[in-house]
Amino acid sequence: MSFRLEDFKERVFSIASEFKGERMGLVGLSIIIFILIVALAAPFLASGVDGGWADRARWEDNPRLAEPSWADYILPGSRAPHDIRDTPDEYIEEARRVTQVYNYENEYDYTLSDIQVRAHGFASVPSIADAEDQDVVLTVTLERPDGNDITFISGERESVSFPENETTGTFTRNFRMRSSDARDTLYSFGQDFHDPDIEMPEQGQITERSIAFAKADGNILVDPEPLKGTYNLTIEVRPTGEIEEFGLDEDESRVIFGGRKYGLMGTDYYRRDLTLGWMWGARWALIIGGVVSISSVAIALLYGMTSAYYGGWVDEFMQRLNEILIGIPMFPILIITLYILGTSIWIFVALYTILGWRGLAKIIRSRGIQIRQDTYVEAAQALGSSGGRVITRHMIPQILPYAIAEGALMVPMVIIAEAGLAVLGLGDPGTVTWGRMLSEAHGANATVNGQWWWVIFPGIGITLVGFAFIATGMALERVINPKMRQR
Amino acid sequence: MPASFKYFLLRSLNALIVLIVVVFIISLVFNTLSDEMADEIISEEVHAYTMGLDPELTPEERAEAVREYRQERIDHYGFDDPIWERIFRTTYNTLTFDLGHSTSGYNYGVGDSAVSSIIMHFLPRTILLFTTAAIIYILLGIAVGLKAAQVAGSKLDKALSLFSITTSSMPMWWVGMLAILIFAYQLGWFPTTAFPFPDETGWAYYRGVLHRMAMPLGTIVFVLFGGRAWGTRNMVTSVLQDDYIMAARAKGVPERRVIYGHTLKTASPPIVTSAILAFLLSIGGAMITEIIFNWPGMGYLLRNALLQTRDVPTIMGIVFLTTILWVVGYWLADLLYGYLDPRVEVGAEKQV
Amino acid sequence: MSERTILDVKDLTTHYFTSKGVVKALDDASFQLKGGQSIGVAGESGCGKSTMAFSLLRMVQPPGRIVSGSIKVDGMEVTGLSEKEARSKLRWQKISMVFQGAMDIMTPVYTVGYQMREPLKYHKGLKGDKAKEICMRYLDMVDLDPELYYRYPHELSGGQKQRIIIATALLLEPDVVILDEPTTALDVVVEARIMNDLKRLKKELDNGMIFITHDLSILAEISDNLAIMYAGWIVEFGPATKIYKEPKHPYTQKLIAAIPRLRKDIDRLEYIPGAPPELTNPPSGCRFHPRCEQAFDKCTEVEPEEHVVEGVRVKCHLYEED
Repeated sequence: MSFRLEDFKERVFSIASEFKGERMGLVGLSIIIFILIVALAAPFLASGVDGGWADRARWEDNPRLAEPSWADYILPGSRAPHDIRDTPDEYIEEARRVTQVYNYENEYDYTLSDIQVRAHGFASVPSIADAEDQDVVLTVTLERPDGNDITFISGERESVSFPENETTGTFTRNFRMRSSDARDTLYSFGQDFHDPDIEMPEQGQITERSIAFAKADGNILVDPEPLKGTYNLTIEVRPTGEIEEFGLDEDESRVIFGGRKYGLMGTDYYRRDLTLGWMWGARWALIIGGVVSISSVAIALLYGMTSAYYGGWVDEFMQRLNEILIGIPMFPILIITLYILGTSIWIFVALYTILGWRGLAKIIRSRGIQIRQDTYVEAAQALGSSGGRVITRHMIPQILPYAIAEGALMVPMVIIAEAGLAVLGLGDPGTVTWGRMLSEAHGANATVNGQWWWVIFPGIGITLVGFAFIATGMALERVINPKMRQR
Repeated sequence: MPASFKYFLLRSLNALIVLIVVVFIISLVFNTLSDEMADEIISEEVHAYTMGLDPELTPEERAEAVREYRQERIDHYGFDDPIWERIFRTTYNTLTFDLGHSTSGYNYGVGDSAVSSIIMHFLPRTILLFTTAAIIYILLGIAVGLKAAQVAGSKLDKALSLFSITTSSMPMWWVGMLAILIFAYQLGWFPTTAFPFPDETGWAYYRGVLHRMAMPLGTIVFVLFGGRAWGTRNMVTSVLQDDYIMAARAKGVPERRVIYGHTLKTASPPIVTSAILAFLLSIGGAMITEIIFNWPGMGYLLRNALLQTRDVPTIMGIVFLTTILWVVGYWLADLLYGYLDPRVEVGAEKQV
Repeated sequence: MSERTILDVKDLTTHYFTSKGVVKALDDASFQLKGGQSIGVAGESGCGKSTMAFSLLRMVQPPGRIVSGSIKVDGMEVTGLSEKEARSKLRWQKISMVFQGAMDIMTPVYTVGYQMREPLKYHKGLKGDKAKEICMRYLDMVDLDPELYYRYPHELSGGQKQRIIIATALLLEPDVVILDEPTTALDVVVEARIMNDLKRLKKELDNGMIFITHDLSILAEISDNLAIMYAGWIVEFGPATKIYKEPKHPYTQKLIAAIPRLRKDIDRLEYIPGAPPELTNPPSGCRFHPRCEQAFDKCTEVEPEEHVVEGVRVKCHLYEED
């Protein structure tokens, strides 16, 4: 019966051409396409982010809690950008000393959030017998433009480890300005300048990292003002004992000036690039929304249409059953089952699908009863088509556009439900969803600390997708059912 | 009337079946999959018991006492009984409001370890917040929806449509987070956390509670009233397009009576029943919002039971309460619908 | 039968100002109705019948409005009435209407009694037992059990509802009753009974009735005058018997030829090829010319005048006197 297919095609075309007149629907559809592109690009542009979200080492080089890089344009003040240096600006080799110098130009109101140093070097001894208990001495100093230098590491010994039967070993020293030693250093540096007329703040009350780049005045502890100019970070290594040759490895050493702004959406407390997480959030939102709504609509179609087609006691039984199912509350069942079965996202998808089709099946059945009375369905029956054939070939295509519209309206509910469960600790730990990002933001008190970017973007993602699907679904409904249109 | 009594019976029977089925499903899931948890519960109780034993006892006596106590607890919970027996017992106990005792250890600061007492301690605060919010947003929603329906196609109507689509796309608790960012962090108008409640008495106490309530209340109303208004507006406009409205106008019925009489009365069954339903059901949906604001209600209890204490009896209790609210809500809505709409016949759906 | 003119419509023009252009739903309609008489209005759907009815009631829905012309009901000019005056002085008092579509015509949540009492309450201030008594009398008049007064609409059959609507339309004894397809939703037997009722009532109450329908065979039986409408025009107006026997306008001729007749053997039913025009952009000249077999050059260019031929008004170039 090919003419039926023609009818169906024609109907699709007419719906499509009318849809073009729905401005909100078009806006919604464009957003969906945008999100879809992001979602498809996620595995390429943000590969491994999904599985590696909780992997701290993966994000080490990023700044902590950096604002989006465009924050300077909309908010007062300028923010230090993130700056990773793999080569020093100067490398001075002297007889018993090598020094790496990194220049840093501070011209920002919001100064660096961190300085990370990964010093990696080598040292050799004359003979294998000496290749034991050898140290180098390390000094890390921040030379400030006002001449008040801060020495973070002052002549600390770092042991050299030699591979077996070799005379050349390596040493590594990692340093962070956020470490408690460095914070103590900064606090005592600040104390030297502190105005005695002002009460001395406790260490817990101040942000030490601002002191490093603050004007050395009486307010340095209570209200540090940025000191602009050129800073030099020097890493100095001296040999001890039997060490003859030594140096800093330029390829493996690295200095990271932790910025205050990063990427499109900033970073979170765990230094993760929120942009990359957001992309995966988009992907998962579409996956869970799509899978749940498509499968729910499919079940609802089959159930509703079967009920409508057979009528009689079959219909009666199926409707009674459905009524009982509709009485089952979604939220408690989700909580208890996820809690006990484990918080896999696929269990969530399965559960939501199992409970998601009930209401729609009821509506589809009542429409199906109207369709069944259409003459050509009767004709098809008279021609001897089987029940299954009449349902799938004749009745379902009639109602499909409506079902698609309803499916679109279901997507935001699924996404919001998943996000809510994530806040309750019932999110999948192996995936990055917008809900997970928000639940982590909540867990880290992002709202109370004013970390707006961490809170806003995942939520905007949810809202955007929800808006897009509702707008599209409603426009589709209006096109399909002109009675709903207002003039 | 016998017909309406039959309707009442049928609806009630339906609600009862649903309640039993759901509790049975929950008990089934709980019992078949919770052996591990059973061990956990027993171990914790035994541990507590060991702590309280007389230190003078010999190791043998100790071991014997612990063994006896363990067996006593296992018998108490019936963990040795066949699985079906356990499922039916849990179902029966839950349905008779015997919700068991919290395994949290500190009972969330409530004096009594009975789950029902704990829930009764937290529930009134949820009701205080949510009932107030529900009354506000339902009334506001119906009023705005009516207004928009009367001026369908106008700027107000279009703005409402956009607003309601946007707010229905937002998780309520996310709006709560934004509210904290803006009104607590940036502007400093409200406290960032609702708990603990003010340590004051009398008038100052209520003022303090109100101050803490303002943001969660505003959030709930903001997120929910648009959708309610839009729903009301749609129901009213669809009635306004019906022929009998035109007939009423032709008869010379004043416009006020056309709107508040013919239209609203016809549209009221779905509006009223969905309002009742929303009223009862959204307590579950607002739990996460409570968590965000640190409001010490059911949401707070659920989060602690889930994440901190892994307190299964309490989780079951909350889940059961939500289920009851949902089923009772549906039942009430059904009855009310039958009462409000003369067309509803026994056993029949509303024919549209 | 009185000779009092109860409705005098002159050059009534109603347009809808939509975003897609001006819909000229009714242009220059003129006719008169005397007490105890009835007019039948016939035409295809979308020809302006309903627009005319709503114009008479002053109930044209925006974006439509009466552009020009005059409507005098019992000597009172109603086009200039404010909405409030129209409601209190005109609707149901002077002109009542039986709407099309019996299923959906009564508010489902009010009893029959409530809905019948409304006009009495808002126009006459009558309430309680007095109103009930009147309503029951009218229910009896349309051959219904007065006890239906206590029922809800969903408990009634389509025929019962239609009679209730008719009874409600007669309650205030208006000068004019408009009946828009009063019987289409009903089966033939009920239809015949209601038509007979209406004929009887018209005599008893001495008011004017306007029947609107697409079914000419009913009109011929019940109406004294016929108005044939096409694309917003009254193309022919005159005594029903004359038009029925000897239609003048080519459109009327086609319309009457299309009525199936039981007693005559006919080879085939006539039908009118083509569809009625879009009223946002009606054809030039005579609006019927694209479908008219007798059209000539002038028809495509000049709008025809109305000509009176043998007591029948006809808007067609064929009857132009040289």
